Amino acid sequence: MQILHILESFAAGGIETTFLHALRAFRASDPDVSHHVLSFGGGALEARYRDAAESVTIDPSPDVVELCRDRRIELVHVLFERCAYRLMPALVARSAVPVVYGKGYDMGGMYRLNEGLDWQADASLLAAADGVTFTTADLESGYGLPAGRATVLGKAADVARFAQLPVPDATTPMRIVCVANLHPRKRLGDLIEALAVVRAEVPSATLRFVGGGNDAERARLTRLAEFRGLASAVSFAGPVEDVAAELAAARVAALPSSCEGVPTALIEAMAAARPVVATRVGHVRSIIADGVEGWLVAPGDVPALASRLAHVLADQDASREMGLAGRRRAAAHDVVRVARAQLAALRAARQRSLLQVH
Amino acid sequence: MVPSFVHAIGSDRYLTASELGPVVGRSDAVGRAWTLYQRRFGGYCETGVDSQWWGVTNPVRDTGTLAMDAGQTVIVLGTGPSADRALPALRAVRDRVLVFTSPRGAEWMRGHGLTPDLVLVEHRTALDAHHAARHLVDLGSNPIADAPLVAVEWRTPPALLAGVEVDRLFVPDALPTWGLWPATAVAMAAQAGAARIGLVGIDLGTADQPDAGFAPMRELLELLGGVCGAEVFDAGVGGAVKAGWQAGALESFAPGQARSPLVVTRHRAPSREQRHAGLVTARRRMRPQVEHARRILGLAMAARAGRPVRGLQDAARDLLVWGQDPEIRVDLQEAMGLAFLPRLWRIGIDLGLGPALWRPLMLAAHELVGQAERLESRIRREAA
Repeated sequence: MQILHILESFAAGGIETTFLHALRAFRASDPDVSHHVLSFGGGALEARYRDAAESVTIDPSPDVVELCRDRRIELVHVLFERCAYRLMPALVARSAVPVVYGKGYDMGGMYRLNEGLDWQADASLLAAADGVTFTTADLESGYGLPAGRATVLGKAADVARFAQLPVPDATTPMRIVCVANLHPRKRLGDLIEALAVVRAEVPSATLRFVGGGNDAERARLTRLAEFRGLASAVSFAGPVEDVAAELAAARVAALPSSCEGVPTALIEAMAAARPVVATRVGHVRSIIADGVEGWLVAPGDVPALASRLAHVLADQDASREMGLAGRRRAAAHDVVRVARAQLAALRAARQRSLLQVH
Repeated sequence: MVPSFVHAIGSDRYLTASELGPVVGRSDAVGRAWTLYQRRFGGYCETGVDSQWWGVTNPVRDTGTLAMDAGQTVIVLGTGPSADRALPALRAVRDRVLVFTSPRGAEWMRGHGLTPDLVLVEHRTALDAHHAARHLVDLGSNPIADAPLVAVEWRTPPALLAGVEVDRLFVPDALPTWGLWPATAVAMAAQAGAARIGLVGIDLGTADQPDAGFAPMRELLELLGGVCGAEVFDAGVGGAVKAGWQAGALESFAPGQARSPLVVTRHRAPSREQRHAGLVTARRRMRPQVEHARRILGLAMAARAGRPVRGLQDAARDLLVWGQDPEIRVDLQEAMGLAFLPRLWRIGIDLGLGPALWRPLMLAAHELVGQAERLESRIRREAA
């Protein structure tokens, strides 16, 4: 079978990074399926996608029907809202190739669940697809898709890699790590404010931001750290290849965002047996039970954030318990496991489409 | 001045180049523009689509025509890496050039203690606009509030204009847009009479590696550069090459004399009540299409469920024929805010798809019926 996967770009974002792992897992699980990738733009992961896929096409305005004909594509798998929005009309109107819409937490999904954004066009795209995969059951709810056409996969992450990290011990630095793009939506300043409070109880506590993003936001955070007298306690790793190494050098992972879906960064931290302190937004609750794998606080509640961070840094036993609980829970999100289910969903959609035609 | 075909094509009111001919005449440039529109924009820029009907609640009171004194230089400022490199030069020439930018550009400028002369608020889709509004919430303040002029679309969400004095806002008459703000800003500057238009921070990749994802924007800028009548230059050092845009340092293009302020000739726009009434009327006009779409949706749902269904081809023909009527077309696109049926008018439906015809029918009818229901509840809410 020839499958065309459509992405918005090869930027090192959460969906693109996770899908790269899935693509490798697809190939390992069934070498008879060929995977082609179409992207509107390039990006940091382009070379790796070229290694993982049979072919890669970069075109911001492709004739996708022609491409399907050329490559003898038997199934199209669209991963991003913008890709579905732009290409599905031509795919469904000018070809009979079945289309599966992989609905994850990009903008529309995230804003729908965080802010109730009602975007009719996306609901119509889901209705017109031969199959839909959802990252979580919560994301699926409300679309009213008929039974049998939608599959809930669960959020995927490279769990196996992070599960190899040793559990934090007394030698692990008292470091809080936050893996996130530097963006106002992440409310990273709250962590700096919280650190000022935490250090009253845990003087050796430090904070490290891991991720690229907005230069202006980085400058703002740097100024805030200086203003709070924390310049030497707050560091910026920038975008890094090896997030595992950053997690290995931390006791706890934190994410104080005002808006999220199901953050891959938290699943990776859980797999690394780090307790997590995060905000109760989006579908974060679908992966973390408050007080079990970590703590959940309201966005912007700096005293609660500080209190929970101080707790996990100061109480090593509780922290260890939470970390191990997180590792157990993260196992269900292993990308190889999810990829297997994803490939099965793609096959099922094609099968359904074939039955309909004949 | 910007040729009228730029606005005409970007308005999405024409399905074929021949239909456009009587409006704008014929020339090689029109042909090139139409090809670009088809190839890079899929023949549908969506510039008139207001799927959330923000046009009713938009606080803008005036439409307006922008003008400037002769000999002015306008910098269209983006936030690509070259903006940071050009910052010292921008500071040096700031009192001699006019700066047009986006809300993100205004945010960047504010971070460096600068203020633009005009902010253009433009988004391609409702999702992009919502994303921008969400960003403002995270910022905690609106960086466009200090700009002396803010040009918006009717469909700009009110949330994006929070904190902006209404006297600074206007909807440009005949906005020469294809939905990509840097190109729109260039066209606005040319239309207002700029002698020179320069780009800073509109990088679209690097000189060595142009970002393929920005090809539509680059090609549109190249088209505009050739037809806008102003001297055009790219002072975004290190950015992708834009054919027809002379590369060089910002200082070398800045005039010797100080800039003079922009002028907007304002006209009072329809009131919120009038806009609401217009929507009610449009809904009434579209009732036959909505009812028919409801039947088509039922057909598509039955076919999707695998039940034997007759009439799929006829239904597809019915949907396509609406596109042939310019009034129905504009109503469905602009009043109903549809993304998909207008695309199907442009790309067609393969009537030989057999049972798979349920998919284009579902896509178009589901959106049309869904939007009609949302419009209905929106009108009820407004009335209440």
